[in-house]
Amino acid sequence: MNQITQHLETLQCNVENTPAILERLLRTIRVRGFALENMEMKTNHQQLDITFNVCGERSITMLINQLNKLVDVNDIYLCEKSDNERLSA
Amino acid sequence: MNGAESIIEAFKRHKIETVFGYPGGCIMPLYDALVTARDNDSHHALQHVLCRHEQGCALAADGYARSSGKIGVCLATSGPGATNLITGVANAFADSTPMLVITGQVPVGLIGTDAFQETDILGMTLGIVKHSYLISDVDELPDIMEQAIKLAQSGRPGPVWIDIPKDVLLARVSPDASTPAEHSANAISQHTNTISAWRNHIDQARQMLASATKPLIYTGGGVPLSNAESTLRAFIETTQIPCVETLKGLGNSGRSYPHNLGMLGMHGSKAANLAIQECDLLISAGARFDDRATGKVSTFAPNAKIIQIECDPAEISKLKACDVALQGDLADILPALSMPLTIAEWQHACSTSKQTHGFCRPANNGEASQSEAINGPDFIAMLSRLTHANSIISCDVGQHQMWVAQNYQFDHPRHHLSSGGLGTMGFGLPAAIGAQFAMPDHTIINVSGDGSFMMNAQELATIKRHRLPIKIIILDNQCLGMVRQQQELFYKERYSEIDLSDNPDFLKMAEAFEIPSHSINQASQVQRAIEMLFAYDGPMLLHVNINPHDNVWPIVKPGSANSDMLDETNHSNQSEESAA
Repeated sequence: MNQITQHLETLQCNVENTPAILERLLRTIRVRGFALENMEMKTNHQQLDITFNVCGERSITMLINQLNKLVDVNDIYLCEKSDNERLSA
Repeated sequence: MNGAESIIEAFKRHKIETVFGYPGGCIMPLYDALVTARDNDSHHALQHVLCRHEQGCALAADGYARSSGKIGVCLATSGPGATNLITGVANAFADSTPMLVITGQVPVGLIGTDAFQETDILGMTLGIVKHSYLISDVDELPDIMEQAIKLAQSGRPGPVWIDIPKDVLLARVSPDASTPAEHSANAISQHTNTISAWRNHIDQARQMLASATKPLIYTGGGVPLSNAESTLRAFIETTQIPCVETLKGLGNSGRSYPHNLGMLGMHGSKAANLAIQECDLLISAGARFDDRATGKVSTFAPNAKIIQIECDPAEISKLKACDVALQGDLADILPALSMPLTIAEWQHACSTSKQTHGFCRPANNGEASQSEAINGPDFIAMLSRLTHANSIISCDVGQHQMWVAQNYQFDHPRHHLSSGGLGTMGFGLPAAIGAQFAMPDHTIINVSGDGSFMMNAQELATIKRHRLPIKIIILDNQCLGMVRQQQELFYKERYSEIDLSDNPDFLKMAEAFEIPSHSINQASQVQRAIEMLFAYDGPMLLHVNINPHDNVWPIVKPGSANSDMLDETNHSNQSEESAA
């Protein structure tokens, strides 16, 4: 049985509060092969501070690079290296 | 000045003189502003080209941008007007074409009420734009126009979409907002500034190049996009490094460069693919390791260290890990990497391989017998020999597209317009229209297939209206040839829905649009027919009957390594498993 290692990672980002910014973030996460496990968001004037946990097999650097391409993303970084690794068939 | 008029002002500021569009309900204020501009401003010659389908508008804008390097602009109304643009915009996104898309939207108060011709076009298109805006305040419009035009053309270019409610187009722009502020550019500066991270790694890259015994450069569409064609030519002149090109990079190194091994990949030359397998250093310049170019990526360049030159940080090591990343502008980096190389043995091996395995088809149709059928690749080789150096070829998608890529000797990358990333059938005719408006002094040739041509045949009306002297060549094999070929090779000859033997009479279609035409079906007619095409000072359609059983060779089975090329001599029924 093939076992695929999935990594749980935590990202924090600051984004402009513009139309569809959440959709842009979420579709990028989905299309690039990650699942959203948890998300917290608070408004900060015209901006949003968002923390989310994502889980996937692919490189988190690749996802960060793709999220960074979104014009309304001001800043994004990997919070911590989670030890949570899940094994799935 | 109202919102619509502020858009015209932005066109004027940025010297945008040609837009492609189709009017309708919610975009009508902008079309009204076009009338004002035409009547009142003799200094700004803004030309609107009415295509006959919004997809034609988007693809024409794409062809305009690709051939000229300028931004392409298309306009449409809300609802179906906007949704009809989608394929063309996705095409531009896949190939990084700078494009500005402006659509009307239902009035602000009606958004979200399922109003007539309302669609959430912003939501629908998130995955096919570099960025997009939905404007609710007219005072934002001048700034957003500035941002959008700059974004579309900066860094890795792409389409930027602005969706504007009808009442915003009609509202007055306050005097303070009518001139874009400095901050509008600053707001997006992190996405438009040139990155120069490459300087930290250039010494390492130079050492790798100096010590390589089998270096190879692999160039793509990033070369023309960054206007680095002359820089690349200087680099290869100094290094004399063997090179391979992607579909979108054809013409980068010029047809006279002796170490150009041609296109790599699924339908690339054996010489190019074998060089990739052999090289000990691969320099990727403005290419993105697309699966059609690399085949099974884990087997691509197996013996090579990789230097990746790339402006988009998200592309670095995305599909194939590189050893050194040089992030920045090709035009800056290549001169810093340039040095004379001592690689005579490798050059000789590549030249020998090119002679044996390159695309060097003799254009000898004139010597063909009367009864011999026309072979598609031979036709393209003859076309290459007979056309002027300034011809621009727009292709559709399918076998004819690959025959052009293999057998037409391109000398400039902007002379080859081909839908690379999305593979959009129907691209060729509207792209040719866009190119003709952008480059009126060039001969524009649309090479199409009978399947592709029917996808946007309505644009013959645009050619007729403007008497555009486009030469249309339809290679007609009465089937969807590329699908047929893959069904033959990979699906045990189980042919499914590829028959087009009931095609319309293409000559009568041309006649309906007052375009002269003729048809040929024998190899001996080819040279004369091509010469007639270029002797005529206006649009003309040449219908070329070709053998339905001709295939594109070589071919790498989807998902296989590029070293596993199939050709006429070694193919047999392959399993359809893993074909993708």
